[in-house]
Amino acid sequence: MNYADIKDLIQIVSSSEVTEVEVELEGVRIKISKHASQPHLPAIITAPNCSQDGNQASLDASLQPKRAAVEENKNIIEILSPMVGTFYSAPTPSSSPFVTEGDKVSQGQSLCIIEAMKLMNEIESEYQGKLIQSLVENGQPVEYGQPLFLLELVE
Amino acid sequence: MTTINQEIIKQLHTQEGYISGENLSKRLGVSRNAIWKQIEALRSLGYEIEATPRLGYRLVSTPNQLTPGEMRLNLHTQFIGQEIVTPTTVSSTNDVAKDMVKKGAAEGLTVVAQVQTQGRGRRGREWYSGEGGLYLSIYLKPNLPPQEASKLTLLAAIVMIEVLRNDYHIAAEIKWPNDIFVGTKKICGILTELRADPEAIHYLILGIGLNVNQTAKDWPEQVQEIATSMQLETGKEVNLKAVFVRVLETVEKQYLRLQNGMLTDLIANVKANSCLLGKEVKILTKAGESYGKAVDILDDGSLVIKRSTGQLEKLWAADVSVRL
Repeated sequence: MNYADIKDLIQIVSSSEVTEVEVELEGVRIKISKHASQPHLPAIITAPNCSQDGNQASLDASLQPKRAAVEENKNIIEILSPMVGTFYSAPTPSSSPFVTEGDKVSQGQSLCIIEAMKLMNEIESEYQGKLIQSLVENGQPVEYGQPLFLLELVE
Repeated sequence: MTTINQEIIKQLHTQEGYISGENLSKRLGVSRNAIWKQIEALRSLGYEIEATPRLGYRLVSTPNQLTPGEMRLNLHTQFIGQEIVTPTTVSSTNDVAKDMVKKGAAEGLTVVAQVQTQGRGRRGREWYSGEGGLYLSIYLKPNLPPQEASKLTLLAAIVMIEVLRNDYHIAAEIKWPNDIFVGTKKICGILTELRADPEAIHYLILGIGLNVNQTAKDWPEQVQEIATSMQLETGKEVNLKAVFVRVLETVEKQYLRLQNGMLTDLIANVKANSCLLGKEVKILTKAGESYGKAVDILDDGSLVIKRSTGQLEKLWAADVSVRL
């Protein structure tokens, strides 16, 4: 599946009566939903099958539509990884995640940990808002600058 | 310990030979009787203080502990440890340091403890932090892009190698990324915590847990099998304050080299002291267990594993151990 296919899919969905569709093809899962409250968020794509050595193709495909979403809705921002490492959604393996989708997030609140070589980087939110989506699964590798979360800014 | 106590210790330390009770009382502005009482209090804390008529007091020995007021006496650093905090009981020195940084502490702040109630390692694992150890956290604000922050964890590893090998003649090695081992037993763990955004490092807390004077009886059986201490390796009791000073001075020396772009031998040093390179290893990640040969450590600090298929793989975060 390439970018053009994804674009076609979005167009088909937006011109139809369907409000949500989920497709899995060649290791890439795409979920498209059009909720009335978020009219400018056309597509969210995750690559859950991205393996330890990284499936670059699926990663790239997943980035582009997200950027489009951000451009169209200035109130939704991406929180990016400051370094290469492993993403952890909770402070310890036995504790519950720092945040889950739909949570209200305050400024300075911890969102996740990125680990590289026993260096634990606890990522804090610079903004107040609502967590729209977690883009990375617990334990998965992340790249420098890779989006980790979508946050809707709340005034 | 009271401030007057600390002041007396300082006076006794700086005085060559004896200092009279009268002199002490003048310098500190308290009565001779008060001085005598404080000397008694210090003796009960383990200070050996000789009192000779007409000559006065002389410090013979100090308890082998990290007593506040004494730790900076022989410390020759520019900024690391210029502020030292010694909480009597502490959950984790990293947590105390983080709190103090948020309240505006200066770079170089050092938090040190002899016991931690919630010492921890990677991913919330418990780090056995009983009496006899050295648990310290140093606040640094390196002028590096965040993606290079892991250099600090490697720097901490070569610092500990330098202190253990050069100053104490302990055959310590680095188990990637930065655990310090003697043979198959761990002597020191390093856990670094960082706050950064993609542009800059806000702060970095270097946490070091070093086993100094523990002996087998200080540990439960399962810890005895995997841990060792400086005392166990050298066969002698080790002066805690001296180790503390050496660690801080060496961290500062190497850190200033890093800040000035002079630390060009970092990776070469890490590789030369690695106990994994060239060996068959077991790799544990969230995905499970796998095997390979550790063949290289790259400039970015990552470990290169050669799989049995010949395929090379870069590791950033994993538990890697020599396959027995």
